[in-house]
Amino acid sequence: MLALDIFLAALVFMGALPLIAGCCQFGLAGLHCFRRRSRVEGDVHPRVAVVIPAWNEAAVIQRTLDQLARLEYPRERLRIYVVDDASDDDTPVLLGAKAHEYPGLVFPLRRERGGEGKSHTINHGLRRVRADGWYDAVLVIDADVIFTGGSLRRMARHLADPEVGAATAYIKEGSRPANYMNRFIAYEYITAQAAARRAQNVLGVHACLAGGAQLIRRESLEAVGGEIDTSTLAEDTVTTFRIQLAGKRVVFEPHAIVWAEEPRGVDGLWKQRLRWARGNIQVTRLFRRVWFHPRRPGGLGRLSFALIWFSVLLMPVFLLSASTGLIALFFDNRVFAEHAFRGLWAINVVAYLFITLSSFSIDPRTARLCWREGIAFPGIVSLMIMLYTVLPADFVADGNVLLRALGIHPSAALGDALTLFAYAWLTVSMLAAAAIRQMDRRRWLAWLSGPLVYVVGYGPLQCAVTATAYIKELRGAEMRWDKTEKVGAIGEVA
Amino acid sequence: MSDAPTIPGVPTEPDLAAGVPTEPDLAAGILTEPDLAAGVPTEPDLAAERAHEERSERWLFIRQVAIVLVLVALLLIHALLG
Repeated sequence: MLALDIFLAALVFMGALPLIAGCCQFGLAGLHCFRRRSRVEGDVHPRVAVVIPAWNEAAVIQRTLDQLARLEYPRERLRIYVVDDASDDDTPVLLGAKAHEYPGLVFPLRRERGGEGKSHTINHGLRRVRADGWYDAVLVIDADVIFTGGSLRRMARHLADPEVGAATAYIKEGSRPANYMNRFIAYEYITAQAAARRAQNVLGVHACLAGGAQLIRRESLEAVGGEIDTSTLAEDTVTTFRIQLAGKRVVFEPHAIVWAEEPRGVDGLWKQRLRWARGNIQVTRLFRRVWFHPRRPGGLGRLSFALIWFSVLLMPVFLLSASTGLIALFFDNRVFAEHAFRGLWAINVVAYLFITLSSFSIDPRTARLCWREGIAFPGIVSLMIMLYTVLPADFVADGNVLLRALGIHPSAALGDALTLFAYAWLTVSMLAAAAIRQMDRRRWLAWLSGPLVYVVGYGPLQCAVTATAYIKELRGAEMRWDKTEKVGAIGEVA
Repeated sequence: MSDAPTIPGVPTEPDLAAGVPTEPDLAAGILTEPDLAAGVPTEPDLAAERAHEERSERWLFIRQVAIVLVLVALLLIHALLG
């Protein structure tokens, strides 16, 4: 029986792996000052061809182009190719006007037959850029992103190092006024970009160039075939992997700030992240010969990188494993189950405090906007479980005394039910998050989805999306490009 | 730069005698002349900007260390309280 208990406890503690990996990333992010991101950094101004895929972007494209025209970058070293993917709104007219306003800077291109997806649209632009042959580097961005004045200059200086094949920027959520979902995403981007990408700079290997800001050296673009991948939903990740496998480095520039407009509700977020999660599963399959092969170029086969990659990709599996282990232990050895439960959640408490405080420290300006969402990121239910875990046993016993004093007599059955609920919560939270998404799609229930995200947690919502991505991939579901709706909500953020 | 009159936004001829490279030599990391007309900060501004960035990264490290120390202290207090 001891062997079974130890096995089940191992299952339980697998649930802590994603948070431990998260802590490692935040620890590495703190060491960023000791690692020069590029061996050589100079204030170079390579000729940059900006490629912008645009499909019905009338609400955002003008501001994006105006901001690019105002970049602190030599005008004669910048060309902007906007690929209109057969838009049926005012995008073509607006692009024509901008080409007239910025002659020699803005070049509108049009695909008469659109709807094939973003990667095909980008490739249309890349073919034109390569045919012109004018560029030293290509910058692939989204139609809604707002580059701050010095962002491109900061990214470009890394190209002074011939070993650097690509650079990316810090994408921040810029919707103003920011609603609850914008604030959750703003906090998430501190963790997933400002912290995780700093850590990847330290490790010398990157998972993904941010799709909204990918500066790629000409030589690297040619090395990966001159076009981007169209076989997966994560074309930016495939490009990142291929550049590194071709022997060049990828660099994150944390001081190059780019603002983006992100979804304002659960359903919009779900569609966007489902696309990303499915893309990551496809990338995992596509590069199956790279994982755990440390001698592969670019460090992609290192154990440290696998820890980062799989701790996110397999998070639903780890959480399911923890719940399964705890429930099995409950029926096998209740005392041991209680110890395992407290041990798991004690790790979660420490990791939560470290990650949350570190996030606030990495980007205090953003944290001022979204500190409540940072605190509520795991969900109020998880926070209560954490509180229960760290409270001394006497205090919990006193609580029971208090309940009795109030005339509430918790029965053994109720106690067992609550215990099982707490043990199962890591998995139940994913189901609850999936239910919130369904509520968000129904007009008469949508108002509840916001408050419920705080209760269930934004983290579980992400896990539920990843779990759904697995199901979609196993079923071989159609790869649809559900474009995130952009309405020009980015405020005066530059 | 040459003494030829300039039109705003139109690149001037490179002053070859002064040895200012026009194309960025990415491999050698040779600096190009900043385009003042386009609003590119001058060298001292860039140096100050870099110094600020490096200082902020060092502060990030210091804050991370402080957070770790606080957490260790909290763990010790929790352990002492049983």
